[in-house]
Amino acid sequence: MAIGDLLWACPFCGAVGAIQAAGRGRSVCSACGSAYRRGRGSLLIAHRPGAEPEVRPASEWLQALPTLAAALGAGNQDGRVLREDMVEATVAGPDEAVRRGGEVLGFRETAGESLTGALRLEGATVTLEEDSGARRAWALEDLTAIQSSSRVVQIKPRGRPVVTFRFRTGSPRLWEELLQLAMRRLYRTLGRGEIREFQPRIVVR
Amino acid sequence: MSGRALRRQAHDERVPVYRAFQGTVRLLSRVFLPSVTVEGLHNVPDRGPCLIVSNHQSILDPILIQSFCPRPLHTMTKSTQFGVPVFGWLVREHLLAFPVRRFQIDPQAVRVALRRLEQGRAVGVYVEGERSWDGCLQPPRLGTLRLLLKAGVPVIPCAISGSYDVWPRWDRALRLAPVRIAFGEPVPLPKLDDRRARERSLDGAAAAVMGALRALLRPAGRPEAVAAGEGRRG
Repeated sequence: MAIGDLLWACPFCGAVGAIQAAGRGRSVCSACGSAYRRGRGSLLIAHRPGAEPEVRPASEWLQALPTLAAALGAGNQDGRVLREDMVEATVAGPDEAVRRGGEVLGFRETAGESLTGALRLEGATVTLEEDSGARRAWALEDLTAIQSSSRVVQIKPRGRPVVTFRFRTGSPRLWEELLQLAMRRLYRTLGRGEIREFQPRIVVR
Repeated sequence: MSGRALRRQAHDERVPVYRAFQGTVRLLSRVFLPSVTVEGLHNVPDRGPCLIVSNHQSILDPILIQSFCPRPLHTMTKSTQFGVPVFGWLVREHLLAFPVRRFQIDPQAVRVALRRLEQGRAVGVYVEGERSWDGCLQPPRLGTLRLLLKAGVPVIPCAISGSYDVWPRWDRALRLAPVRIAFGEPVPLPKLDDRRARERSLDGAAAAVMGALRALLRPAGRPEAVAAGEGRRG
């Protein structure tokens, strides 16, 4: 968790994925040199080179971000690599029952196979090129849910187990926004409607 | 916590570890979060089933709400928490949590929630489904709204403000800041057994529940703590 997870682009220069942790609660934009740190409460203080510090709530800094669509350009169907980051991936194992006394309270997800490699969003496909050279692909069309937590992004391919991506580089929040934008565009293109929510499963209206 | 509220607890379940947990958190909060204020406790029914519907600003929210709510709260909890050593055992055996799986409609979680309500318990849910990144209210999850409409029990809005200032999702560090937990008057929602009727009523239920939460979040003059606008989703 870091400021770069919240600000997936620099509010000043718009560089996507450029804000990186720089130690002791400080993050810096590698493109324009603006530095960010947490102030009182949840306020964020930005030090832009050569300018007075600016103090704003997180919500206002988020409003200042460019739209991801503008940052990425119009299309994502042409097979371009829109983003690549290094990840550790975990494929979920079978669910286990959670019991208390004789009562089944529910079921919990378990972790299965682990992989490491480069995660890419290429056109309408998410791919993982493993360190071993093997390649796995998930078509956006087949995803039934997308979710990020503070450190991971998870996708649920139809009829297959949940895959969790823990990022060594890049921001899970950026990836969630990227995948959601790509899914919205794909659904519009396919005439499936507007996506209303992405989890627990994708719902259109 | 007032003596009256503690006496009210005595009418409810025998959950000694849960109560010890409540007492410990209240004690610690006096030291580390001296400005936690709790309002509207009279809106929480003394007994009988009810749903406590909260916003979610910080990882601290479940701890604070469970500790300051006058009744033991049975809460839907992310299923992966149940696999964490010791903590998983604690939430399962003593903190009244039951798992909800992500990425699918989890009928067992809904069944257990409805069973707890039939038993006359109070059930806690986070209507946004996950913590807010920016402290603002996010759109409600449709599955939670369906549960509210199916259950037909009093729906008590519970707005927590300021926990985002203490520990926002994007930082590892805690900071001292005032936290306010406000329980509102019950939100009037119909009990709808018919699935189609529930689907038709989702937008109205969303407006009613989120409106109640927004109204409870409003008062303080610290915009970062009580931002009442909708998040930037969609």
